[in-house]
Amino acid sequence: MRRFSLILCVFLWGLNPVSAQEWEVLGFYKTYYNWYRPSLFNHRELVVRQLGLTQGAHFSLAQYVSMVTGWQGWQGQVDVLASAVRQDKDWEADIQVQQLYLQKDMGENWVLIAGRSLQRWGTGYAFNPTDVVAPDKELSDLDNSEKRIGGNDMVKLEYFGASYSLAFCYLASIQTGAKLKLQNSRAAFRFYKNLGSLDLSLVSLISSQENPVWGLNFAAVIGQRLEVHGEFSMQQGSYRKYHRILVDKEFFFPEEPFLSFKSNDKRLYFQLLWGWQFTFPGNIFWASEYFHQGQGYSKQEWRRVIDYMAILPAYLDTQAHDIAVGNLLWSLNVYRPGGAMRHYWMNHVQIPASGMGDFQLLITQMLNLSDLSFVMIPQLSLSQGNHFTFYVRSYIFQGDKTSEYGAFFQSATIEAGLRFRL
Amino acid sequence: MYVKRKISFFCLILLALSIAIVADDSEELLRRIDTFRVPYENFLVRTQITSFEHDRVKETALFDAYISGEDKSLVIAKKYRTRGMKILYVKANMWVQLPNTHRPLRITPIQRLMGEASNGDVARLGLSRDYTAEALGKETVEGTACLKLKLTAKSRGATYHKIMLFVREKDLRTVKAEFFLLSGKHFKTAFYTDFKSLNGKNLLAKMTIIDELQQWKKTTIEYLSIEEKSLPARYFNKNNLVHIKGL
Repeated sequence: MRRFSLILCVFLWGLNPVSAQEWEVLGFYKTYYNWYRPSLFNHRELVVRQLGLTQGAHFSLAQYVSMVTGWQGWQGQVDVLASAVRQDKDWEADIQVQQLYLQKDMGENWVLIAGRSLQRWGTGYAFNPTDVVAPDKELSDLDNSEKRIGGNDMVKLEYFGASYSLAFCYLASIQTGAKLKLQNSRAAFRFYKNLGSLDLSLVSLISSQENPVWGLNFAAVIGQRLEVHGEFSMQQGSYRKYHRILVDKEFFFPEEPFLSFKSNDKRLYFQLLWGWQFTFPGNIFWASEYFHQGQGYSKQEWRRVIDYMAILPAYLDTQAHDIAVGNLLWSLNVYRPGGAMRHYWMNHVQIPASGMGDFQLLITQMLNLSDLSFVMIPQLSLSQGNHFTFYVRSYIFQGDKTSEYGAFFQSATIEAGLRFRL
Repeated sequence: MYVKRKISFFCLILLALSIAIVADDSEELLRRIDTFRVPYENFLVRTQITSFEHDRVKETALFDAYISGEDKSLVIAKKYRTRGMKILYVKANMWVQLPNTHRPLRITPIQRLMGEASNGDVARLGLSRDYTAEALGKETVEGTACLKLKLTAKSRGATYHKIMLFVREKDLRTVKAEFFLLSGKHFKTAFYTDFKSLNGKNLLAKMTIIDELQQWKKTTIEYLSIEEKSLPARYFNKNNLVHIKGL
């Protein structure tokens, strides 16, 4: 790790702003306060204690450096995020290489990139069933303005025609250690065609471990203010891990009770996204999306998990206490960034406050249509020139106590921060 | 009966011809007006936009616009709060690539770029491709004898639905423009205040846009430099936006 850090420092030095073609430095400083609550996933606040989460103010610093440099027809980009969080009077530091790749423009039409790169192929604002070469987005930062999402390791070759492009990607996870190992290899293709006011892409992902994923997406502009978009993908079987309580009558599980037991299913699992973005007069922006994921928990499956969570506390005061706590913690794995269940509706509104300088109000809301629980993220920001933005943001998780977001162990967060950009 | 049909057919041909001639005249007129904005087939124009509120500078930004022929342009924000933002315009289609998002989003030309300037004000310089012109007579604007033209959008890529354009009678140099929404509301006015000579061509150097609804807001667009430059065709493919570096 030390050697890697040294190499990274040298590399960054070599790409210093003097020689870089493009560079960007972002800083994120924030103080946040979390509220936790007893819930079906947090009996007697056990989960919060076990995870070492503490109610109260926390402070975090993060700095992001991005540089682009060129040499002999090659171009390189490196994006690094260094962060530190103050937890219980101690600082926890982390450094992540979000992007590190080389790019070669070959002739008039070809572009080759190799390394860690963040490539977005979907057209959706919050959900992207066809983003087969990128990690999921974070609901609190759909634009990745805080740079918490990094890229995947890949080699990509893309041909650009006048109104179309054809991309081939080879992806693998690189395991560093005594020997460099490639794991989870997969190949992805995209054919894009512009058909006048419509952008259409066909996408596929082929892997030796899973059945292929096939998908298509589109985006179109109608009139002067409306953009509509959609994505569709399908795969035989589901490779998600589900709680074993759905298929196993054993009540306690001595090891992680999550299994991908639907992987041999012959059924096709669909993901569907349909959405629009509308710009009102005064530059008020509204994005709205319906998202269906066949791989999510059905209402009945969720009910089964909830029944299991409701019975667990009875075992906390018995000799089975430790194993009950373990099962309680493991059960948190039902939660996913894109939602645990099947039907969601997302709304995102940006309202610039006219005549009040550069104030902006942003509200993001994700509603689980199966149980009507929701996450609401209001944010107020004030930009000063091109360099500083102050913001206050809150996360609110609400719903019936047996619902997805009502059963979550966190009830709310409020954070205030400053972002700067050089 | 046969003679009547022949006359009708002849009249139809005459009508079609006259429409074509009027359209040709209109296009030729707009092409002449465009010579003050479009000096080359392919060129780079460095544009500075400054927005004002109550005559105090609110924000300044710098954009490089690469224009390729009549229907393609690529705009890159060089100094702006979203520095590195790229706007691509191909035929009637427009996309924006924000530095954070890693994917291009479809947008419309009328959406605000900065201050009172719309995306199309920077990315779409010529008028002849997007509008038809109708002469409405003569008028004096700011002491200058002008022709008054009504420009109506003919392409989906036009930034504005309707423009009342005032051009200097003697050489068709733009003096003033009033911009209208689809609803008919007059929402912006532009004054073309500064022209400069480049390689023997007289080119627009500065325009000022005033918000008709909030008149304390105005925005200036200054064309700082213009040079002949062409980019490979792939720079005008939306999926290549993420790969553009070093421009």
